[in-house]
Amino acid sequence: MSNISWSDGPPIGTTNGSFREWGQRISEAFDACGCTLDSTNIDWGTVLAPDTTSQERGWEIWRFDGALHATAPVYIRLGYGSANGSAGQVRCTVQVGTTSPGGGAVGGVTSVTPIAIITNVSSSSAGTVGSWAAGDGDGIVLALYVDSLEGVANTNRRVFVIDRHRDADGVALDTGVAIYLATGPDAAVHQQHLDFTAGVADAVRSGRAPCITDGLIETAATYVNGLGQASVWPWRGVTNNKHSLSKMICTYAQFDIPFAAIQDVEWLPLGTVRTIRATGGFLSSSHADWLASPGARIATWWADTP
Amino acid sequence: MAHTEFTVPLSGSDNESWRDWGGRISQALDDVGLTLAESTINWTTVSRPVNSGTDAGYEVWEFPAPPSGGCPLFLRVRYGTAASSTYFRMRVETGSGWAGSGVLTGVGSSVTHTIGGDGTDATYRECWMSSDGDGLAFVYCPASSQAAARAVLLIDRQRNDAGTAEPRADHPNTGYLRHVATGGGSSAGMVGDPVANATGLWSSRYPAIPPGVLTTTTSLLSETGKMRMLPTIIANRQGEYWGKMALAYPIFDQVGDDLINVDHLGATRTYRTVGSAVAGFTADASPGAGVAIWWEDTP
Repeated sequence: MSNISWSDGPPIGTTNGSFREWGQRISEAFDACGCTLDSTNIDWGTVLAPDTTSQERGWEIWRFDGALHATAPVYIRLGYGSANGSAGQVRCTVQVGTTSPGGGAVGGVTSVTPIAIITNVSSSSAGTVGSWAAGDGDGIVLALYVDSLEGVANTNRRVFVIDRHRDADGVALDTGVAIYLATGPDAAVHQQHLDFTAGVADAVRSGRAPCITDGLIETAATYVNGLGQASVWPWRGVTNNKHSLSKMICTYAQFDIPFAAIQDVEWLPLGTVRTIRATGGFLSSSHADWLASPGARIATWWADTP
Repeated sequence: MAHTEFTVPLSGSDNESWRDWGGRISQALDDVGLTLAESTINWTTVSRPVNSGTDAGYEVWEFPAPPSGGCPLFLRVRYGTAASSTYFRMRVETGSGWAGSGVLTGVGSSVTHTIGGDGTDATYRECWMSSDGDGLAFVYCPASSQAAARAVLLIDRQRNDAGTAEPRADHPNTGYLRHVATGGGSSAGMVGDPVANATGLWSSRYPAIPPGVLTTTTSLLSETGKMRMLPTIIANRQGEYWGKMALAYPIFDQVGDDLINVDHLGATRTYRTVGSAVAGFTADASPGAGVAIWWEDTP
């Protein structure tokens, strides 16, 4: 269980140095946050920056470290390269599967054709806060370039989650995996579940966050509960075979927690104090709850113990 | 804990049909266990309002005593007419307090939901109502030829994993949900938070999360052949709880007006499906999602 933050390395690949720095930060985040490197063909000391668009320079296959790996493995393929807009714009693609057959692929039950969690970012800034990641061995969340000012639609900013289904206590289950991606320019949340019980990848859902809040969350109102605690609303994953929760991501009222703050909350279940980190108002309101509440925002899991 | 069935007309131009309409709804509220706290209507002698948009009177009903730490729950029903004086309409509010003279107070009391009042249908249509003491489900004329008049009213205290409206000792609560959806496509609700004295609102959606948009041909059968039911989530800033009085489900997998046994909240309970008469019961207003109301705890 761990977390990591970094603010260096603008998300660009115009030089070998900048490409390596960008990609290595992503790689280090997986290494630091509960994942084990299964295989790779990339050497971050020598890899070259892409010299054309849509060019993958290498890949890594990671897996979750948790005990469920023995019976319900989850493999994550990261592809590092360039976007389709320019050779100097980086792209990181992700595909999740249940086997690692070798050759840079994931197999078994797999998520849709690699989704680009980073692509066509507009060059120069990762923001002062930069990025962070956290993982507990059964899930990982990345909050990337969270205060980047690039582009009117904040195209650099994004939150990406891969998380095993969880029960009401936050305990990981072997019933499947949830995948969520929220990005600056897209008001919808990319959502997909791998249903291990049925052995299928459910269809991608693109829409508002699967999070029920208590009506529309306003921007200028507090939602502190009767015990003086900031409220947190969980995200829920539903397949034909399981109704589960996510631990790596949740929703909070923007008014109550400052941007990037690390906040103790009682969550999964009430009575258990966990630490979350607030991403602030950097993404569309549609990313945070079922009503597209203007005051609802995403927080990432940070630690189980304050 | 009770349920009942009865029939009412949705429209009419005489006192008798209007009395049948309101009086039978009133009787059903009594039959399922609510207590009449106040009334300005004598169902034997009351006259149908002669004007449109007019109430003939109201009733205030009280739910059974709240669980420890929970707020009292009152329901006010105003019986009257809608856009036409022949269209029957009821308007409902709930509150955590009652000040007499028809005045509800506390969370939810300022939010009004309307049922009925859409078009002519003098045929006596079946209605269903159920209550376990901590919630109420009312399915209004699901077979009416006037789709917009069909409605589902849900009132439900927050429930724990056992289906009990019992707040956590260390997180005093228990709020409640109210939601009204119609066959005409309107859907709106609220959650009351008695601790924060706050009422949260929503429209066009229902707090049940689907695995994706449910079309009218979406099946949600599990590997064991069971239909995936989508539980109602009643969240407020004091915590997130379940609803018991209703579950959303894919209407493709189950036609309306059927009793089904569902494993929910620690027990096998019986629910009654409404089918496509009133749809859209998910957080994304899926067109293929219907609602099933609680019918009884023991199959």
